[in-house]
Amino acid sequence: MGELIVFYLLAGIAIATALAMVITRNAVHSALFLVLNLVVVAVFYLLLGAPFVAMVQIAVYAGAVMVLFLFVIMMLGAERVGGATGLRWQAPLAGAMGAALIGGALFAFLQTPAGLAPAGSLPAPLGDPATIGERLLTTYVLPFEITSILLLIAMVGVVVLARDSRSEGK
Amino acid sequence: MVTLTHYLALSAILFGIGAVGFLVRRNALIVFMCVELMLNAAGLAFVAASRYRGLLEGQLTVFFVLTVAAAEVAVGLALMVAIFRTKKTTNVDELSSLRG
Amino acid sequence: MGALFEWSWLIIAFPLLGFLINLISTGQTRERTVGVVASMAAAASFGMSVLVFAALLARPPEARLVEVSLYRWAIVPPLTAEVGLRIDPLSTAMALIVTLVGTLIHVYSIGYMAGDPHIRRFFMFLNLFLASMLLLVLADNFLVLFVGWELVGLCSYLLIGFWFEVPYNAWAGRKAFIVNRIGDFGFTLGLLLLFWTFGTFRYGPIFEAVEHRAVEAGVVTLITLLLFAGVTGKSAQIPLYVWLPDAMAGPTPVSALIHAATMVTAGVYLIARAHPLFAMAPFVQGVVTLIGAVTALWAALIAVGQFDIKRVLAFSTISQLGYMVAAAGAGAVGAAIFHLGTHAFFKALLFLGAGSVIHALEHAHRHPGDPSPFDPNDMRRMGGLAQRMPLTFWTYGIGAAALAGLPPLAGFWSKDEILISLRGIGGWATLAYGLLLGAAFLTAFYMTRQVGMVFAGSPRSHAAAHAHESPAVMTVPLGIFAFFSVVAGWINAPGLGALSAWLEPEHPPVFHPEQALLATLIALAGIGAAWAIYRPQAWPEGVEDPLRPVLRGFFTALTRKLYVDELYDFLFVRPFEKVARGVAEVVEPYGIDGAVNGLARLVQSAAGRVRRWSSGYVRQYGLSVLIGAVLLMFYILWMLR
Repeated sequence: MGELIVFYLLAGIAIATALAMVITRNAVHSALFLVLNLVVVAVFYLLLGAPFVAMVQIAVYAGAVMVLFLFVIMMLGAERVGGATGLRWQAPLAGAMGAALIGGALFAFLQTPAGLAPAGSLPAPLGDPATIGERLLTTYVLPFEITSILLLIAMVGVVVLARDSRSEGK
Repeated sequence: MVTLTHYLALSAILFGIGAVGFLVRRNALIVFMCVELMLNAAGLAFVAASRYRGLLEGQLTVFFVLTVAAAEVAVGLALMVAIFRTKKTTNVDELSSLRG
Repeated sequence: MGALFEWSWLIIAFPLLGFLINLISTGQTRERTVGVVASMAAAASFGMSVLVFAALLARPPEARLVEVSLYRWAIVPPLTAEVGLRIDPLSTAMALIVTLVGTLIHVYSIGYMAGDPHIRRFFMFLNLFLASMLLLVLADNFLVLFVGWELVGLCSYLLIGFWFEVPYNAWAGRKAFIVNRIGDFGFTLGLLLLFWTFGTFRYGPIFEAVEHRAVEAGVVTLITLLLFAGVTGKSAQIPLYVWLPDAMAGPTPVSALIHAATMVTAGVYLIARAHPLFAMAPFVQGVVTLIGAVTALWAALIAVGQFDIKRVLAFSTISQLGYMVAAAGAGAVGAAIFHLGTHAFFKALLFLGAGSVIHALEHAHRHPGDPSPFDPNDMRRMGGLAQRMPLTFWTYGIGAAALAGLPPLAGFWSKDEILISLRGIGGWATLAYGLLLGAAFLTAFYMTRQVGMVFAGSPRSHAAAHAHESPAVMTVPLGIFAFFSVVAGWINAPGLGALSAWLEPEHPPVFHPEQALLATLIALAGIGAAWAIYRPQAWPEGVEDPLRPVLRGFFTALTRKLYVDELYDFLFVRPFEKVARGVAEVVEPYGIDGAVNGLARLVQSAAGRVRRWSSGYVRQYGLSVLIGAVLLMFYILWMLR
């Protein structure tokens, strides 16, 4: 019962921060709400027996990535964007579609008996860092290495993209 | 008793909010953040499934998604900076020069 | 012995090899070498034909059929197209005639074409012509026969228009090609119907099915009628004979080849080959016989009014082909092939003789450096050549007598056999018989007229007065042909009957003395009548043709070929041109262009609407994706319900 209360509490925070992120006008606020949301999800990860992913989530996502976001927002001064849009039907249609998506998904999950976890027969949690590290460097060593190459490419790409070509000649 | 369905439902709700935000907001950076939210919602579903199925692969997938997302954010923000430099805006509606 | 038949494809391969050698040889090759290579290729083909013939002869009569499968051309069920050869008495007899006459004409061409700048091209086409005809003759199915048939048509086009610098020659080549195409259209339809009916193109199974009456007679009637359409084109019968007189535009050896060996005989051969089919369609047999006979008389009539030495021979060929077609139509295959063979010899002889005359006149005209235009083919400018060109004169005389049907020359025997075969059938055959008798009279008449105009009397032009005998390379083939023109008829003379025994052992040649007497008398009457009009004493100075005052307007009509060309021009060519112009000026710009442009405009306007979708707004694209995802989700849910 306590579990359920914790879940609903955290879920409420997650949904609230997500909504706030979408609704708030200021991009900096948006980013901060997202940080909150990410932290809550990290807590969920911990509850689900995945401490390693939870730590990565906080360190990489809520930490590094969001700092980058805030940095860019402030550097560009893009807290607010003005100007009217020509897409009149965009917002209502998007809302309707989003609602349909959520509704459909909920309907599907609640309908499917397989979605209901078997009570009391949960396997032991297995997300400790040692196991994951072993798995990453044995079975999934190829995707792991490819990911490292991807990060390298992204790094080079960022350098090329962010370089100010006008200051090149100087 | 918290079941997998709870988590999946939460994941769907977060994903839906992210999707609507992606479509509604005009600030490119917020649009970007909405994408992150959607990725995150998917990650939650993966980890929950991993827990209730007793398989490690769900967590590993989230790990890979995280790295790819990090790379994506880096490149995406670099693009934003480059675009801002020429267009002086981050409003996605003003970036429509590919109109057919 | 069987191994030899496996190599019988060499008969076709030799001329093809000659063609290829001359094709890849450099332009520096001496013209003599080119001719020798081509002639040797033809001679090798003849040698191979003789070997195959001998091998076949060594077999008992009932075993004289060898089918050699060469390779599978295409397998498109239900069609299996195989390239194979059929070695049987008919095909070997044809191959012998074709290669022998072809070889001699090749040799003759070395002399006739000497000095022509395009001699290499000439001999290439000549070899290809021979190879195509041999493919046609030796094929073991209608499809390969058709390939040879079309190749022959192509080569004739290329060679008739050989001197294409003169527009008329190119036009004549086109005319031959197009007129043949009309006939081939029918032929193609016939082939399709044939395949549709029998499920195969091969002679063997088709003839077997016909023998067992496995198909309806009506279908066979239609098939043979369509095949005959092809024959009228290739073998120059009414109504498609008009291309042959204009085929004279080609060099004279080509005319000889076309008339004697490799082109016009194809139609007669086709009737002979498909004889079992024709035998099942008596109606078509009647049509074929009558058309042959009418053509024989009609063309002989026109020949009387011609002044071009080769044109007379051309109409004579049409007329003689009429004889063959009539005989083949009446089922007398042996008689038709017999006449085909003898005709090949004396008609080749006549053409080469005419070529010798033309050659001599051209040189005599050019020699004094006279630049005035001069038609060396015009018989009105000849005369008195008997003294100046004795060899040509004598050989030409033999050929003319053979054609006129004087005994004991070749034409007498074969023509006699055709006439006899038409007797006793009754009905339409009797009519054909009468027509052919009339044609025989006219044949003797126009040949005597020609010999008289060309060789007798005194020269009517400077060139004719200074002509010289042609070189040996030209006169020797003349001699050989003259020899054959005399003796070729004896192989099937009564009592010997070698050709009939070879082709159709069950039908030995018959001989009716009264028939032979009648034919001889008719021939003599023709000669006498012509001589009475055209002998030098009866021919006043300055008169163009002594027959003109006798026949008046009708003679003019004859010289204009009875206005058939004008009639076709009026009936078909002009209306067709009008239709074509109408299409070009109305249908093309408004119909086709309109349709194409309309389609383009339609696409353009559709694109104009679709492009709005591509607004450039990322958010809108995202919405499209989401709508798609939602639809997909609901679809899957609906599927899993």
